[in-house]
Amino acid sequence: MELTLIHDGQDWIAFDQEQEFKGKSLEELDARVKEYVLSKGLVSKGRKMQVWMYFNNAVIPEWMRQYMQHYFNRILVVEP
Amino acid sequence: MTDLSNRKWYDGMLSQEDWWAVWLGLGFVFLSLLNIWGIDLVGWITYPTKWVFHPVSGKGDISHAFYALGKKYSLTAKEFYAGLGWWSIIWTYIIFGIATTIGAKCMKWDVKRFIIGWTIIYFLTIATWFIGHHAFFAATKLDRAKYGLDFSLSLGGGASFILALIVGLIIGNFFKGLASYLTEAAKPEWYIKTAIVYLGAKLGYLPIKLAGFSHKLGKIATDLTFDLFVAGAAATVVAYMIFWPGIYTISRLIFKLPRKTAAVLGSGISICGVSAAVATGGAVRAKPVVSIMVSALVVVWAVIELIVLPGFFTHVWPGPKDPLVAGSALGLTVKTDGADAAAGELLDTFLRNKIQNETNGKVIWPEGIITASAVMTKVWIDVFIGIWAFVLAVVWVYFVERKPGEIVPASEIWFRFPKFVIGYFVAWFLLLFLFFGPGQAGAPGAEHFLKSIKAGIVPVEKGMRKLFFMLTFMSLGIITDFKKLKECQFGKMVWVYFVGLFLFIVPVGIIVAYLFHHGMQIPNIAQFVK
Repeated sequence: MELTLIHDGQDWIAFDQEQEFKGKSLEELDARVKEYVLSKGLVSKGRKMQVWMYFNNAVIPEWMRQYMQHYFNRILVVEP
Repeated sequence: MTDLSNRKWYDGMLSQEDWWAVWLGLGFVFLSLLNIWGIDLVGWITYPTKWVFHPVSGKGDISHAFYALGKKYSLTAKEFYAGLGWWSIIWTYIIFGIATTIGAKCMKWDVKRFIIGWTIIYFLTIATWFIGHHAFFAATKLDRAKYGLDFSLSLGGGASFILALIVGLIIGNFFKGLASYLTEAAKPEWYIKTAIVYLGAKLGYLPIKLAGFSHKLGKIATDLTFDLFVAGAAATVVAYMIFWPGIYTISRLIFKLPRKTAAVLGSGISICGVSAAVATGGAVRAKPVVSIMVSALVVVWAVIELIVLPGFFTHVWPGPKDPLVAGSALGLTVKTDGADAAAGELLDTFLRNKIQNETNGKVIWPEGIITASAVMTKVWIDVFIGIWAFVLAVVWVYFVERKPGEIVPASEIWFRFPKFVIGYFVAWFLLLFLFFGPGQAGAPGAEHFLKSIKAGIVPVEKGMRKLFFMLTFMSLGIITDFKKLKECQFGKMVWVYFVGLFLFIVPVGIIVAYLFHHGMQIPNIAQFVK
């Protein structure tokens, strides 16, 4: 699963074309993503699923992007 | 919102300034090498020379204040380029205007605003370049008489840099509407990264140039550049180990800042300004606003350092006795690439003029080596940011916050790697290869080959590099608004920055630079130049 990650000033938001997850902290966000993956049965017992979160650098002000063009990407591992 | 996330290793090659510095830099380096086959496509680059209103000996006539460098160096199109004169300014404007606009278009900037901004910035830059080369500002003690002067400021090309910065700062602080409009084209980091690729070409060309004086000097130049390469890396690692924990501790213990803010501020002040603040913010999973606040501080303080440190290192300590200590100390202490390289170029000019004046011309240093020492430490710092941020992310995620189920992908190192460094090293090593390979390290029989390299590369390493340095000074001024320090009300963070920078980073940076660069000597070329 691949999600785009942004921060809107209040919440961390991870989304793709179908889903959107929000959390005040990354822990809260992760809990929502895990809950969704498990409730939809996207990962079977004994297996692991990697959820990639790619930070969208458009969140960083344009004047700053010339200094560093990458904030961070992260992987969340979900297992039943 | 446009998606600017980095997913594949090649993402950003056409949409990031970092990569566009490589394309602009290496594009013109490769173009210059067509001279090997007798095709000169780079001799149009404009370059200023010292001038006066009333020349006494035919030298310094205002009509020759700008010329195309091909007039002096081209082997195959000398007459054509000699005919350009002041028109070389327009040629340079059009060719670099097209090249940078293609970049702006690919990066999805507002092209109309970029072209207007580029035009204004370019011609203001040329104007300051011209004024700064009046012999009153630029002539050294030794060549005042040639221009009919009794006194001059002996600033060399440094006067133009200072003027460009002043004009930029006036726009940035007193004409804020115009400054805001110009930000689309005022990109100091893009311009300086391009200039650093050209500096790589300069480093590679240095042995070729000095071998033209003597075979031994060519070898000394090669050894010196590699010494700088190794010493720069070592000094950077040591500085990292001292700077970061020091600033983190000051922030936490004395100013009681939160852990994540202290980490981001620690990187911003101690490592490499904005890029480190952003990288560290991401590594410790801080909200982007933390990095944004630190970055706003960094850019203003870096310009203050640029204004203060070159003069301090020239006239207070270490001066011409240890020029490479001074250069590398700048690299360790000035916190953005643009301000550091710009400060290095100023220092290079100041120290070369000082030693030439003090010794009555008996000691003349080749230009660019002091700049190279300032940039070399900064390049290593930039390279290590990605590794440092990765290590910090691993420590933070696995040990500090112990986030269950999170993995830090190793691809983070690549995404944070400064891509312009690739251009810098490719340009440097390509020229070294040409020198030691077909150029036979300057041995008899390879003179014509090396002359053709010189005809092509001098317009790049001299003309294009200086132009992009000038554009950097002007753009830095335009984007620097000192009022931000007062308005942003960061309180404690401003004080941490002040205390950390001037009472800890600068003194420790000088000591570390001294330990690794003390005694390194720049070759004297006085007997070989007029």
